[in-house]
Amino acid sequence: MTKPLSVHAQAEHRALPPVTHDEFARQEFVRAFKEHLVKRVHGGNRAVYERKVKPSFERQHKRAPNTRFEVRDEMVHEPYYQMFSTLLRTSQEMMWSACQKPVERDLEALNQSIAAPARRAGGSLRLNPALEVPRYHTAVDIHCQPGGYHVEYMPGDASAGMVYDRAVHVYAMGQMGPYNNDMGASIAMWLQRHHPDFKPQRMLDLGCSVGHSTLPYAEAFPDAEIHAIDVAAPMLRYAHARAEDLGVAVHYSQQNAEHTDFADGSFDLIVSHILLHETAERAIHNIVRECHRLLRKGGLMIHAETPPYKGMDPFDAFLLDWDTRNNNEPFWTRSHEIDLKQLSQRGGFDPALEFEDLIPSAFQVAQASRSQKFQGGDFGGGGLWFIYGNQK
Amino acid sequence: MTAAIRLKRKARGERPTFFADPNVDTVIAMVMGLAGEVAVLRDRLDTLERLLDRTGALQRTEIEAFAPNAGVVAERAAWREAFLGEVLRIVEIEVEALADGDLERYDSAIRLVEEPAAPRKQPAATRRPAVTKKTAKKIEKKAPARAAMPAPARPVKKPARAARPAAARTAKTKPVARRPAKAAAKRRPRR
Repeated sequence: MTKPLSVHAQAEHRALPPVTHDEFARQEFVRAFKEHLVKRVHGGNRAVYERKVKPSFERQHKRAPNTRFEVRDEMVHEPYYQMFSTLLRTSQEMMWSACQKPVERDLEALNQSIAAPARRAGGSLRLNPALEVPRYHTAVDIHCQPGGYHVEYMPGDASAGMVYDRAVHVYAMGQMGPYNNDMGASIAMWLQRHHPDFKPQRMLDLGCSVGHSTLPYAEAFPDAEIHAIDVAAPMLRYAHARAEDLGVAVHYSQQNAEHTDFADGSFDLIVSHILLHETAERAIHNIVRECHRLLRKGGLMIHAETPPYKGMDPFDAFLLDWDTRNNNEPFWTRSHEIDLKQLSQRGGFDPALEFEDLIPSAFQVAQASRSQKFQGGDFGGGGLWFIYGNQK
Repeated sequence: MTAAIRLKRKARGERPTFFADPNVDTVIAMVMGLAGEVAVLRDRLDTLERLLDRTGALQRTEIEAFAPNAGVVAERAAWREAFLGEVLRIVEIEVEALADGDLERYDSAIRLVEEPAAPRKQPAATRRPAVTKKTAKKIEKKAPARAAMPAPARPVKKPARAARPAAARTAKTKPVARRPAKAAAKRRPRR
């Protein structure tokens, strides 16, 4: 078991809202609460299933449950699972609340410093107020962030980004590193190992939110011109200030990854990090098709996600699916069932070049991994990331 | 410093519940909220002790060695009692109600205030025409909401909560349905 990472382990930068003594203590509590659930409570579901639910199902049906739906239909009646679920949901709500408090204390002043970063790195910000926010971003507030990615309390508001940056650190219990950059850093590390001659000149990060996964590519590929897009203006305002303060030039623009305004063949690397599950059936196909259009010949598309359910033990799939209904991730289930080869093919890629891999976490390469499992509510706890991609 | 803004706390989307009685989910959220604030207080106290220790105003060993005198003991006991009185006040109301003879069902107050103004000389018993089964059906067809309103003669199902002796309630605990299959299925539709 690794040492718990304090919220203090998050690297400070000028975009990150400062916290008071008690605000910090509150965030620390939520982090500890989540960690407690992961380490001490989560595993009990498996015990309840193996010793109680499964034997009872087998007696009744003369076979073990085959699907995660059969597992779910039994588990929802188990008091242990009910308690686990209500605690996990509560921890998520407390996380947002604890990260909102420092932001609402003096939002106007915080927004002013976001609008005029003290340091400049040469990046840019291009917003498009006319951009239509896709319905899959407004139906529910994704992963229960109140107001979602888009809420604005005043003109030029970046509060959603301020809340999100801290919340990501608390959510992952620090397991994505001091800059929350582990997904990007891990893909960059994988590229350097598996494609040592690949040196992208121009790259694009899709659905970048606050750019926490975007920045590590600058370190891995110092010569690359880095672009990043998102549909949410508050996230991009924050992302821009954050990157400038951290000294990384990124060109942010407010665009929908389904249809961008970049020219054909603009990039030799296109990445996304846990973006696909926050879209929709139609959108995911549009995004892959757009990746194909935007890549140069030989260019790479890589999407990081949690692994597909195919071939997964029904109980593990059931627990990994927890977020779909309980954490406002409506597309989570379906996005984990999509045939990725077909997805590539329909997008114009050669299915023979499609690749899927479990890649080691750059942050945890130096650490022992926490639980070695992909499980709901334990983001980054696996010590691995799942990637899916293709080459044009 | 500009005026503080309250960010919205409710995420758009129906909040899932997991227990047969959704209030159990609510109470757990309250307990965890309270636990969070206790942790915040504890951290603050810890900070205070460490700062005092560092500045030499206090050594932390002094806290362990602190022996409250009789006056302090009494003050603390009084505070604790008042505190528990506040937190557990809800438990006392039943006894208070018994003492005050405050045993009427709340419905009687509703009936009282909803009683239509009667013509002066008419006796109370004839004020409202009796509702026969036939007319009741007619009313239901025309305006179901109105028909659902209780006629004065409707039987009282349960004795008033406050009027039931505590012993009777504890002795006959209502069994909790372990599998409210219908309700659960309704809330969590199968894909």
